[in-house]
Amino acid sequence: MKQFDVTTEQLGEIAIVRLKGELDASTSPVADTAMSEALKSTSKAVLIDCSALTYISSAGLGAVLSTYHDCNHRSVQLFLYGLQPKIKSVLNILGLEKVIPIATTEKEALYAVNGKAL
Amino acid sequence: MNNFIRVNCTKKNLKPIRDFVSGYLHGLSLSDILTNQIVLAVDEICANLIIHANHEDPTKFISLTIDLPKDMIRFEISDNGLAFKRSEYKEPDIGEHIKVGKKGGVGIALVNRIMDKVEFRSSDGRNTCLLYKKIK
Repeated sequence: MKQFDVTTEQLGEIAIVRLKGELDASTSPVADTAMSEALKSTSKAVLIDCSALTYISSAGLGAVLSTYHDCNHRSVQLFLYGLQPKIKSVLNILGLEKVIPIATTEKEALYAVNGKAL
Repeated sequence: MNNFIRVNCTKKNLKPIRDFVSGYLHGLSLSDILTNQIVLAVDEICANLIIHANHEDPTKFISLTIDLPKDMIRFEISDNGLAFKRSEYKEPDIGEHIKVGKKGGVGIALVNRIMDKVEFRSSDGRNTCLLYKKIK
């Protein structure tokens, strides 16, 4: 089985990045590139689907933080959603849950971005 | 139970190290969250040694030994690369990281917050990091 995979899709003006597997120092460059490309494709929001993300290290967090910085710089919203409890606990250790917008589900993230359900 | 692994310094070996640690911890009936945090702490130290201390040189090696002193789990991670200078280490300011878009620098903060005790020792070119976590 592949250690990590990332796919992106466009939902209207919104870019969705789906992370799957283990995001570590070895795989974070792939995720970083995908998130940067996703940001280039939208002027509204980047949603990061973490529902199939089973592991994240500081390198993965760094890629997310860097994307969040770039989103802020371009006035594009960013939401993480679908975090498994063990992934959420890693963000909590650094207090990132207070910094990065997090939604429970894709529906909730889309609602937060659009102000209405799609 | 096997408690020792030695790998060469490529980032591809982080996954086998994590699988080895997860396999060892599996027998201790810890929660998923605690298991993941301990695996993460070991992964962060190994990533630092592979990338920063040994510059991903595949001719160099790191070794990891796990043991169980009373009520604790201990990880001993050794290499012959550049020693970590703890006196020069500063806790990261996450707000500042976001402000400037910095990608690295939070790994040791994670280790310090997850583990109960973290030691770095160097002697005769051999560096050892010891990580301790209470598990009972």
